[in-house]
Amino acid sequence: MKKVMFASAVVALTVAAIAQAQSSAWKIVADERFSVMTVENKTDIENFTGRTSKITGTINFDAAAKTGSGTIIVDGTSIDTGVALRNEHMRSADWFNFDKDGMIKFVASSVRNTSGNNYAVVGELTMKGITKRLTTTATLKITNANEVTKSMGFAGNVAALSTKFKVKLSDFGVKHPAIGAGRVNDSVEITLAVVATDK
Amino acid sequence: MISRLRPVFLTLAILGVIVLMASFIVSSVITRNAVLAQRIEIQEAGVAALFGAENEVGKPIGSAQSLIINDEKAFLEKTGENGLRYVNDKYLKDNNIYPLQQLTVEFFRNVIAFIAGLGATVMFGLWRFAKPKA
Repeated sequence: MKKVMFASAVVALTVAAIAQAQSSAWKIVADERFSVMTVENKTDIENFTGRTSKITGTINFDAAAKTGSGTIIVDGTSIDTGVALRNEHMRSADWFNFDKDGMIKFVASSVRNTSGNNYAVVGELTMKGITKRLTTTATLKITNANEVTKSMGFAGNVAALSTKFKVKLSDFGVKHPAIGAGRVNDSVEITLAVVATDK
Repeated sequence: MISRLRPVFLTLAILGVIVLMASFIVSSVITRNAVLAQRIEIQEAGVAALFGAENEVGKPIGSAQSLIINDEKAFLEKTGENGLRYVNDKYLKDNNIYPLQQLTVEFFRNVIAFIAGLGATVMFGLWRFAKPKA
């Protein structure tokens, strides 16, 4: 009986060790040189783009199986549209209410390789305290540590993730009269490009 | 009584027509240099390579828009398909340039033209209505 338990423990430890070796955690680098999120909205008066580099989170990636998961958190209060007054409006309760809850969070639960560095991603996006399922495509490129990555300040390997998807504002409780009147598009396009490192 | 206001109605109606025409003239003057442009954030070659984008001009910021930028130094030499011009986003920021969009100019032109046209129509109507009866 003891031999069976010992063997089971060894197997369990081995499986855990293999899993640990195959799936590595990559920490997102919150540096404007590497990571940026842009959000574009079209209105009657102008089409504007907001941007931020205040992005944190981790990507868990199994290079052998080409699957993974991850969490990306964006500080909504830091989104800059190029006009200070508009930034204030965006943060206010009339729009995104980032002054009260500034977190935009995406949790990827299913990642499936479609070809090369391309992946189909399914996850949940949370904004204004409302969580919605989101399906998108992403590219993930791994660069092994080399002189160039070291010169950029990375100690380990580097993963570069980029994705683009549309979000319906009304799905997340943004219901300004200007949207209802059609002066502001209910849909925004979000582009995310982040760099993460495993050390 | 109202017939005494006819010159005022006529003046306002003519003024409305002038403003209506002027709104289109001014709009076309302002937008004559508008070009389809894509704002670009130029990346270090090493960073672009991380994303596999070493052959691209840079990272696009938003989508291409018809922009009015009078400072030629804001544009990059390389151009895209159908005459698309690339704009250095860092140059715009460093020089506090917030590019005007053709869409914005045309929006305000349409608002002004609508108000002026409506006003002119009403004033002409009043001018005719106030004609003294023989």
